[in-house]
Formats: sequence, C-alpha cells, structure tokens
Amino acid sequence: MRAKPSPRALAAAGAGLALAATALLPDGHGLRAAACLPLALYWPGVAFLHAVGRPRDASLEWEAMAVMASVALLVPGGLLLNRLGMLGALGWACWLAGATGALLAASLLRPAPRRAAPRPGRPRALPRPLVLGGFLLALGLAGGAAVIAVDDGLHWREFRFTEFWMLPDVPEQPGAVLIGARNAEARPMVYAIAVMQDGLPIASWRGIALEPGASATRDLPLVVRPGTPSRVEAWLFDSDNPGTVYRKVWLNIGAPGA
Amino acid sequence: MSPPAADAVPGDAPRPPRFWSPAALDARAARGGFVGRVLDLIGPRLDPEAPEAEERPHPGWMAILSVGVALSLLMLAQAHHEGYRDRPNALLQWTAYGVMFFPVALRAGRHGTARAERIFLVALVGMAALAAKWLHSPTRFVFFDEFLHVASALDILERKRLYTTNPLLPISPAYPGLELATTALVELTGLPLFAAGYVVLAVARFLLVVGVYCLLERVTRSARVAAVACLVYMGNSGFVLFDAQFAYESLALTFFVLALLAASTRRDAAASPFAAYALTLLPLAALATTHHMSAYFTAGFFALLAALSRFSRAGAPDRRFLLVVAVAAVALPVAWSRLQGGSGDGYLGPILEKGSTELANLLSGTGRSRQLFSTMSGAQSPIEIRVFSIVALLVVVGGLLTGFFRAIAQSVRPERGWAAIFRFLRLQWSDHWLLLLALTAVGFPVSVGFRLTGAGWEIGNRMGPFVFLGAGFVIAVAMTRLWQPAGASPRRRAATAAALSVCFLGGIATGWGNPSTRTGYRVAADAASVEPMGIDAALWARDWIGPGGRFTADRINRVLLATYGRQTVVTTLLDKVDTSFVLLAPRLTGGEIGALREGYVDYVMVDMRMTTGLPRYGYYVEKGEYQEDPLSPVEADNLLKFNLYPGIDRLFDNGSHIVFGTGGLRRAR
Repeated sequence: MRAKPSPRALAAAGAGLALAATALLPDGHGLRAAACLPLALYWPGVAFLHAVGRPRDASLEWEAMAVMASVALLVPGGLLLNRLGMLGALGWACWLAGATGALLAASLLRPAPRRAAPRPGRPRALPRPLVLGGFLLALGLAGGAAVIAVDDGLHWREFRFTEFWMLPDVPEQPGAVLIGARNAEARPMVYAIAVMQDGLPIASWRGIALEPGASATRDLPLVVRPGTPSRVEAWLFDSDNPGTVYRKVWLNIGAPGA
Repeated sequence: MSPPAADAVPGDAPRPPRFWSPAALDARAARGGFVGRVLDLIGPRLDPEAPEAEERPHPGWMAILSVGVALSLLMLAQAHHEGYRDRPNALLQWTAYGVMFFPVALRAGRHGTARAERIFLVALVGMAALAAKWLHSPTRFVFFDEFLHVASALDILERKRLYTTNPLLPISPAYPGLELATTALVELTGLPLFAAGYVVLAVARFLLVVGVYCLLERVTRSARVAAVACLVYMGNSGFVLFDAQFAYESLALTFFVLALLAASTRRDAAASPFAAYALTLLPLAALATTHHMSAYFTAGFFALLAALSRFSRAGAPDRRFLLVVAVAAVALPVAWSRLQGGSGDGYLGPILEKGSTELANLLSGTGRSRQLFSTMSGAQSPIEIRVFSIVALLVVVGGLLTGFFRAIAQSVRPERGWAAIFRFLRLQWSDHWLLLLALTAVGFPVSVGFRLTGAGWEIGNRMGPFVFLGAGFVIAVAMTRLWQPAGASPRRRAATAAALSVCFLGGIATGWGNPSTRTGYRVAADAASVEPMGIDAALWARDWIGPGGRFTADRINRVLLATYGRQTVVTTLLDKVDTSFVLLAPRLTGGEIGALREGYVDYVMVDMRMTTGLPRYGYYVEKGEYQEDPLSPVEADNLLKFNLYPGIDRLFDNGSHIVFGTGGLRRAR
C-alpha cells in the first residue's frame, strides 16, 4: 500500500503549482483559478500550523485554524506588497508561495508530527442510494433557487427607458458636440433627433432604429465665434409619439467659465 | 438534601440559616410555593446531566434536513421573484426561514445526536443564512455599507496601492483587511469582485460558525451545549444580513472568534505555548487592521478574561498567557490607529460619546427613546416584524433569566446551588472561561438599551454579535439543564426548537426588518433603491465623462456613481461641504453656488423618482438636509431648478436621472 503524501509536501507542491500558474497562465484561466484559490485560502495556513507546532490530530478545529491563518496572512502580505509597489497578481503569488515555503522550511526544524493512530471503527462505506438521492435532491433544489434568483437578478428591469446625452466632442474645445442615445426600453425603437443652436435648427436625423441595449452617437461640428456665448440644444423624439419631445439636453458654449 | 452553607465554620454551634443564606435559598427553592418556584426557575440548580450518548451520525437525517434547508432556499427565491414584481410575499419568506431553521434546531438540540451531525447541521444552517442573503441580490452588491467597501476595493484593484481616498467612508482605506483578502483573490484567480467577495464571505461565515461551535465545545466540554449556543448565536440581529455584508465587520468577527478559540487551546494545553501565542496573535493583528470597533470589543474581551483568570481559585494555567494576549489585544488596534493618524478615534469618538449620552439620558428619564418599528419616514413596520422582534426578545430574556445563575454556577464548581453564587460574589471561581461567557451575556440588555437610542443604536447593533456569544452559552445552559433536559418529551423538544426558531426569525426581523422582503423600487431605501436604471446612469458617467468627475447626487446615486461610475463624489464626510441644499433647495442662491465652488462640483445628478415618495431612511441626501415640508416629497421644481440657470448644461437625461454640468457656473465670476 502506498503511503499518502504528507500535508507539508502537498502544501509545497500546491504553492509551487499556483506560482507557476500565475506566471504562465493568463488572467481568468480556469486552471489558474483552481490552483490559486487554495494558495490564498489554505496552503499558507497549513504551513503556518506546521511551523508553530500543529497538534497531532487532524480535527476540524485545526483545519479551521489553517484557513483562518491563510486569510490572516493575506493582510500583512498586502501591507508589504503595497510598500514594495507589487500589489498585483504576481506579487500576491510570490508572497503566498514564499510565505508557504518559508514556513515549511521553518517547520522542518521541528520534529515531524507523528501520525495519529487510526481510530477504531468500521471502514467508511458509501452512503446508501436513498441517502445519496436525498443529498442530490437538496443540491437540485438549492440549484433551482440559484437559477431563479440569478435569472431575476440579471434580467428583471422595473424601468424601461432611453438615455440621451450631449457632450463636447473634445472637452474644453467646443468646436463640435457629440450626441448619443441608448435604447433600454426592452423593445426595438425608432428615434428622431433635432438640434438647434441659439434657437435655430442646425441638424436633424430621422429613422434612427435601435435594438434593445443598442446605442448610437453622432458628431456635429459647430460654428463657434470666439468669445460669443452660444447654446446648443438637442431634442429626442420617439416614433410612437413624434409630436412630443421625449428627452432634452443642451450645452452652453463659449459662456464665461465654460 | 440541601448542600451545606458555604460560610459554615466547623465548630460553630448549629444555628438556623438566615433567609438570605445559600442554604435558606436552596431550602426555599426546594419547598415550592410561588417564591420557591421562581427561585428554582431562575436559580443555579444544576441537576447532574445524563452523559451524552455515543450515537453514530445519521446520514439519513442529514440528507432529509439538507432537503429541508434547500427547500427553504427555493421558497425564498420564489418570494424574491414575486417581490421583484412588487408583489412582496412576506408569508412565504418567513415560512421559508422557519423551514430552514426549525427542523435543524430540533435535531441539533436533541440529546444524543452525534457530534459530527451537530457540526454538520449548524454549519448547514449558517451557510444557508448566507445563501439567503445572496438570494436577495445574487448578481451584485446592493447594500449601502457594501458599496462603501466596494469603492475601496476598486481603488486597490485600479491603482495597485492602499490608503487611497474614499469619500463615501474616509476611514475605510485605513482598515483594508477585507479589501486585501478580496482583491488578492481577484488578482490571483481572475474572479470578478462580486464573486471573490462572496468567496471571502463564505469562508468567513463557515469559520465563524465552526469557530463558535469549537470554542463553546472546548470551553463547556459539551457538544450539545455548543450546538445549541451556536443556534442561539444565529439569532443575533446581525447574523443574516449585517455580518454577511461585504463590509469589514463580517471578516473581523471571524478573526475575533478564531482568536478566542486559539487562546482557549492554552486552557487545556491542547497546543504548545508557542503555537497558542502564534495562533492567537496572528488573527488579533489581522483584526486590528480590519475593523476598529471589533478590535476594541475584542480587546475588552481579552482584558476581562485576563482579569477573571487572575482571581480563579483553581489556579489558571493560562494566566500569564492571557495577560500577554490581553496586552497585545489592546496595544495592536491602538498602535494601528496611531499609525493611521488616529483616524479611528475621530470616527468612533463622536458615535460612542453621543450614544452613551443618549443612553444615560434614557436611563435617567430625561431622554426619549427612538421610535421603534417604524422607518425614518414614519411608515410602520408590518405586524410580523413586530411580533417576531418582541417574542424573540422575550425568549432571549427568558433564557437569560433561567440560565444566568446556572451558567455562573458552572464556573464555580464544585459548589452547587446558591452557595456557588455566593462564592462567585466573593470573587472565587474555578473556570474563568465559562465565567467570561456568562458575564458577556450581561451585555445583551446594554445592547438593547443602546438600540433604543437614536445615536447609540449603531453601537447596540455592533455589540450584538459579541454579546450573543455569551447569551448563546447562557441560553444553551438553560435549555440543556431546564427547558429540554435529557429524556424530554417530543412536545417539549418541539417547543424548545420553536423558541430557538423564534430567536432566529426575531434576529432577522430586528436586524434586517421589512426590507428583507424584496420589493420594487423605493425612494432612498438603500437596497430597494438600487436597480439597473441608476446603475446604467452611473456607467454612462464612467464611459462618457470618464473616471474622476466631481459629482454630487442623492445618497443612493452617490454610491452608484462612486462604484459603478468611478466618479469622485463630494461628501460632507470628506470634503466638509454640504451639497444637499444644492440638490433640494428651490433655487440656487449664493450659499448653494458657494458650495459648488468650495466642493469643485462639476456635475450634479438629480433623480426625479425622489419626487414620488418620502425617503425611506429619513433623508434623500444626508441628515440635516433642506426640507420644505417633512410630510411631502421633494418638489419636482426644486430638482429642475438647474434648467433655469443659463450657465448650467443639461448633459444627460434618461427620463429619471438628469446630469447637469455645473462647471461653467462654478468657474464663472
């Protein structure tokens, strides 16, 4: 029968693997996430417990202590990385893998804890099918709850609306304005836009069709006389109600302080 | 047979006991009658407890109860589903919480349930409570305090450095423990901030529940007392929402419990001195940099524990250890606060001072209590909220009354009966850990007192998770020794589980209240005001104005602009400029324009939905804001006054949110 690897060997391997994954794999890669999660939440704590003298039993209490120690070690690590200007992914991986390695090295100075004698009792059996079915049913119900909640969270919109805006095309240089609209009405919309400068029409667009979630922008060059204040105003109409201004925005150009 | 009087001296002539002597009190309790029954009920009588049976864990029960808890989550999801559509279903929601807790309480509190099964059950319901909070808002953080810390975490992620400025909560960057843990996960795994935040919350919650259980079990040496105390602990008002938020206290509480657990290993020499020091000081150091108030509460705990160990007549083997740890628990948060320029003192000082003054006034009869069961806008809480809160309070008070002297007596063994209490009064006890927990329960009425005051309710709210550690122990003693002793009838067991369930429901009702029922949009109602329209408006600001624009807005849109929009919001807390009048006053006079200039405000966002109702939390922008008529919503003309000023641009309009550009007006002379 092959001996199980020791927790110290597992911690060292886990930390090394996570460091390599952070250095080699791109951000958001599933393997990197799987390797780094225990690096942040478990391996440094395991090493810490071995370094300070972990009791022989492997009870839940000590596993909880290992996780707590890992989370707690993130705080001094963060403070140090901030001081070094390395508060990024590689900095974190280096700190956690380095701390794990250093603590494991320190733990080698201690005599290795003897394995607890196996507790007498029946060998573990697989749960009976009915029990297993019960746990699976529980998982299914909880999953159903999650699906309902996430679907509502992602898709429920109490308000349907259209966003309309006008900004200087280049801030502080009002030679042109940028006019935009975004459809969040949850149905396709057709818009029209009219633009006036000092009350006189200077541009208009009709038949701007936008699907739900889509947006459109228009650049509009302006005639601006330096030192002369001017006001550019844009009105948005929707095709269902073309006689009523649906949204209104404006911009003061050349005004003192503008 | 009555135990001998503790103060009897050998050789004295026998004399009749004085009526206040321990022997007389014991005799009176044994004789019956009204006074005797009361004395027996609240007194320290501890009948020998039947040894806990060595049952095997029952996987069948664990599976059945898991199905029950999962069913409760499904019911909650359905209740929220209806709530989104503004058909709040409070009955389904409260039934779900009952289904989640009652069967677990019945099984976990039963005499004879296996230890492993008890741990599984308390962890199951603890995690289910966090899942219940997640189901309320499963795709984004929506609670006000969460935004304050999301802003700090985003700053760390974007600028790759600590101690940036957070106008929403200026003290937050000085206590970056939670944000560091979360952003480390984001950086390492690539998870979004919301998911990484929930991983941290889930780990913190699991450690909290397991930590409370293991601590109580180690101290009381009873798996049953530990499990019941854990279940009572879940009845504290912060458990389901406040301490499950993405906010610094959620993680700090875990450090507190784990530090106590680590220290308790010295009590029975389960760990070496070096290991105990290291395992206790590490979470204390992390706690000092995570949350100020929790760190000070923890310091108080360890200081009291060290003081109690000093008087322990049994000779406390961990006396010196506890003294060193207590000094560290006090020194670490003070040192961190000093390193951060005393930011904690300036924040906490006024809260503590005002809260204490109001509590003193309330006790002396010169002050008035806060109006209970009503929102700040005056709306009354629904009947179920009031009933759960009051009945839960009665259950807790009943548990404390019937358990307190029993818990004290446990810490003064081998004396029994009233002699134990007299021994305690002479500062002689044998177990300072048990006594610490019993005395902590005294904090419960103090926390209730604080909750009755306007300024101190926040202190009372923060005290809850700490004092419930003691209250849980005392009530668990009452339950296991009086309410539901070994061999209790099924009816009695059901009644006890029902009482614990009411505690749990009462905790939710008191801590979360009516907003736990999901509804459609409400005005200035924190989570009920956060919805996609406001978020999209904030995102528009980020995409088209760019990060860092100086904005003022109402309370809700401020947090959305600061987090989703990455704008710099102008606040009284940081900028010392009150811009609420700019938003709400009927016209812009010199004062309002002065505030725009002083705060360098370039953009004002108004939300026309504010005109549809009174602010649920008492104000639209901040306390002391302009109010024309406290009984009417703000006038639309007041919000639209910016249309009338020639130098002000109208940059954005979505039918509710309008962004006005005030840079021109601000800079004009």
